[in-house]
Amino acid sequence: MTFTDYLEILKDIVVSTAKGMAITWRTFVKVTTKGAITIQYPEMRDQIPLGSRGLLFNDVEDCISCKQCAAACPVDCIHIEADKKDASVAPDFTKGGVRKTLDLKRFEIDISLCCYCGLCSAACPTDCLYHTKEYEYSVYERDKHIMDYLNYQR
Amino acid sequence: MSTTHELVEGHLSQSLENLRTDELLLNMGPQHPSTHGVLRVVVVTDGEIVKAAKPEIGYLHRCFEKHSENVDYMGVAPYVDRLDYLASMNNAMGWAIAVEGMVGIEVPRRAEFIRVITAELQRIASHLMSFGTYGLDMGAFTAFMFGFRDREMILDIFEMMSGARLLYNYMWVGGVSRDISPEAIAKIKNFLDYFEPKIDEYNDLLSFNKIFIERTKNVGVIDVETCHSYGLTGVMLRGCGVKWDLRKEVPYSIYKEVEFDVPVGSGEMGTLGDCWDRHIVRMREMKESVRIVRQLIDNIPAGPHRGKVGKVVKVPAGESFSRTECPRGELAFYIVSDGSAKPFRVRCKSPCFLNISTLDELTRGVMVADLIATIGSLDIVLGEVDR
Repeated sequence: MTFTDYLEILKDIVVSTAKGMAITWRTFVKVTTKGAITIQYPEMRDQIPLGSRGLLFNDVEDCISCKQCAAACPVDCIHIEADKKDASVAPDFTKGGVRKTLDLKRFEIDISLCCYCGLCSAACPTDCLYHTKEYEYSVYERDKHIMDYLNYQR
Repeated sequence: MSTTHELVEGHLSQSLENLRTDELLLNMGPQHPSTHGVLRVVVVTDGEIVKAAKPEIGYLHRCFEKHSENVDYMGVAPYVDRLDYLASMNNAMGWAIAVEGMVGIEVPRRAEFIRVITAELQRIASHLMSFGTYGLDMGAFTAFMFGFRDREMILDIFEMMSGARLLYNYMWVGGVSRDISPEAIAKIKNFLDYFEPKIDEYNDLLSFNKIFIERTKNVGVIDVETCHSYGLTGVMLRGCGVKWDLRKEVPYSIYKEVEFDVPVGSGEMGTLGDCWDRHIVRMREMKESVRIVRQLIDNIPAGPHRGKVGKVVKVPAGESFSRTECPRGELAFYIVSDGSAKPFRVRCKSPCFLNISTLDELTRGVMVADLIATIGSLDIVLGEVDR
């Protein structure tokens, strides 16, 4: 490589880098005048679109204990126990008018196993199991991630 | 009586003679920013020269193939998403096509349109990630920020369409899980208008920067014979001038109805098949993807977004094979079914595994800094290498 070649490369480096820097500066001016692209997270929050898949919630009043969600779950994180309903008790219906033939004894979801695939809520016939928009639920103990929807408190 | 100068000179010459030079074994990774995940490269170096580089994989092994034998066909889809987590849509499309081939489900035309649109958007997102991290490997930080800024917009669109930002589980057997909304279509159009001029800007920023060119040209050169012997596909193969794209050669879905070019490397800056060629092929592919989405977005036909599939996918005994063009190469699924609800055997051929196996051959006798440049240009995702 001769000295002229070297100078040629050096010139190219300066010119092309200046071109790139111009793009950077243009972006900088745009961002400072028209507002930043990033948001300061804990103070400001992004709008979460409708149907976003966050924490699961089951409305046990509407649940008919059909266990289709547990069958659809690829990681087996839904645990359901149900007994046959006593015939002497008055019949119970969901909001959609489906008769509940089983008595729900246990409905637990281990949220730390959940992979948020949405297969359970798609399988639910009464639409009582659905994804909420909630995404901040870190806890200190792992046991607290087992959501018991029969005694649900948050 | 000798002078101080003579003493020092004598000592130096003596120590230089006795200087022990040795090959050094160097572990690059598993926690290293430019290995793009948990990859360990055992490098034998002689000074700055790489004598041998052996990729040690398996840190992310999750038994995908064995695990799929224990979940039903729909339940495998979330696992498929986690193979190449930067291009989940493309992976899931391959799986869906494989299962549909066995069941014989007719996928509605609307679903096919939505599938191709999302797959191409995902390809853009994946290449943007590759562009950004490659810039970061080469010491250009701005490219990384720009790449992530635009990828974020695609992720927002996907969150709107599928409900998740990274692992969508959107392409189900028989169609897609949700219909595309008019807001999402408007958002995609906005994104395309915004993004198309940006590609040229990124080329000015990084691809045609002289420092970047000097770092990547004539580095990691791979020829067609080596490509064929390793079974490389995708950008690796197109980077050395072979016009092979499954979307064009063996068209699946509705790819035969759309017009697009297959960009190939031409050795513009140095040798044919070097790192720069692979980089520029990715940049040009983004432009082609924008072209494909533009053709489809206005013509989405009306109809259902999912074919007639029962709650449990009933698959007859038999076998099925599918291969699709993912951003990193050809992803193939081979499923054997015994007629039950779960697959009997699943085999996944991942392009990244083949890409990373060429590392030793590509980096013999190069400088350590060129090793980083080569790994970056392979554009590997360890989730898919290890499966």
